[in-house]
Amino acid sequence: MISLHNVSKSFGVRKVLDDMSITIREGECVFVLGKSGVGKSVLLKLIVGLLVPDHGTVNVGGKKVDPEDRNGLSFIRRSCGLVFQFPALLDSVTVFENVSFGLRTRDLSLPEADIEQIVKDKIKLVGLSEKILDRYPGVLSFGAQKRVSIARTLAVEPNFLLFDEPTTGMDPIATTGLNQLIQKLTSELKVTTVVVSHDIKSALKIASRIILLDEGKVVFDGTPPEFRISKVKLAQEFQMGSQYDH
Amino acid sequence: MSFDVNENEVLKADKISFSFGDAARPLLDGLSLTLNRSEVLFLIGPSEMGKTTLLKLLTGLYRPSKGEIFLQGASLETLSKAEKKIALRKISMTFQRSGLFDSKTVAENLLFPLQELTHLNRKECDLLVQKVLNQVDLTGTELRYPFELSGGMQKRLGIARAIVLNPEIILYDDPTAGLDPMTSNHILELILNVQKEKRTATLIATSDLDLALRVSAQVSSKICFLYGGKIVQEGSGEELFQSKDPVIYQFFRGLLDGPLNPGGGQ
Repeated sequence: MISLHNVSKSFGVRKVLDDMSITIREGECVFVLGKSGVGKSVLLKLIVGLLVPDHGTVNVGGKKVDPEDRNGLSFIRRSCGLVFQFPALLDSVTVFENVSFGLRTRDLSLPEADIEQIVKDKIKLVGLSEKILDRYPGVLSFGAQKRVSIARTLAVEPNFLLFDEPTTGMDPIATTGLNQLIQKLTSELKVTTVVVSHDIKSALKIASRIILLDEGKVVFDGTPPEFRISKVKLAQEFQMGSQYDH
Repeated sequence: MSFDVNENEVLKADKISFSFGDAARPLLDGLSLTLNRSEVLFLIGPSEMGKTTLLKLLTGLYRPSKGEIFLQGASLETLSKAEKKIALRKISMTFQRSGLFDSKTVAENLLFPLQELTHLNRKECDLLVQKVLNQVDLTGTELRYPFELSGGMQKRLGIARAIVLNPEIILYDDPTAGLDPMTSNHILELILNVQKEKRTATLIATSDLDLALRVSAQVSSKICFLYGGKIVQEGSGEELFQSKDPVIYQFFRGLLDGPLNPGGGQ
């Protein structure tokens, strides 16, 4: 479970999160929506301890996120896999080295044969071919790079998968493919998934729950069918803003 | 090489090809596209098919390996370096990630092209900067740096920089990427207002299919579909949606089954 309890966070005079509380239960696929700059990415950074709240507490998997507790923070970061908006792969090494990087740094005694097997399994899991393992990220498409970055995250077997704007800049087919992958990972690996996004269409398709943020607070928290009929103005604006009727 | 000049055609790619390095297949392969005076044209297609590359070819940032780019009837290949420089001032382009100077303030980002490319004095430049900032609703941000602006504000600043030289043609590269639906609508509204006021020929490359369909229907503009190095179909959103071409059919419905690889190609 991930919980944020009465969390506030400001940058200078700008209050981004204002006494906000959220609970994400195990096995859920929660989409956090909101306008640009509302603090969605801040939320992810608070969860993995890259930022510290001004007030309130954040708990992940039963442990409080506390930058003073190095062991606790290390445990939390091992249990969370963060997938960035841009793939953030190491350009100078192959796909194999990118996916195995986290494994090697976390467990120095892991035999090479095990590393190879894990990398192959994860590459297959994200829908890529083993043939790309000796290629460099630069020759792959953006969609394939994104999948490699997910494989890298999965290699260390996190309990929580956190996605920052996973479908930004993707065409409709790549978006459908990625949504299906997120669904598959949530159900097959029994992980808890948090997706921060603007992509309301994807949220309505694959989320088990949608949380909508506005001015530092949660203004909607419910299922996709509840979101569709919500009277919350921003929920309606999100749906209107992305509509096209054929 | 010359062709029969159609004064309505302000920018034209005529059977152009382009490859990066020694790729076995060219990224663009005999592509033709025409942008007419005062027209709004959308460019869509699967990722990695060369939308941005095409815009860079049209603005002279890249040179085609085959074919020609015509700007108001004149082939860029036949112009001298000096003529080309002057001719290309008629075109502005906005970049997907805004392409702003991080170390310069908002006002300095706009002053830079004015000081580099015009003979206006400082007072005239300052007045123009104020006018353009007002147009994109960024008055009051003159002394801020790009990183202090939201994503939507950065996009607006990118548009301000594109219009400050009063171009006749503007090419927008994914102007709403990464923005929420409401901010995306504001940016499109701004683009269309600029187009309406200045009668600018406007080419918008986008990965946001819904936005392209909605806006093209609203302003009765055409959509070009780029795939396999060529514009495979051009028409209204509805015409493309009804297309029997298997790639367009799959793309418009976001289907996984079809000729396009959902992994984005490997």
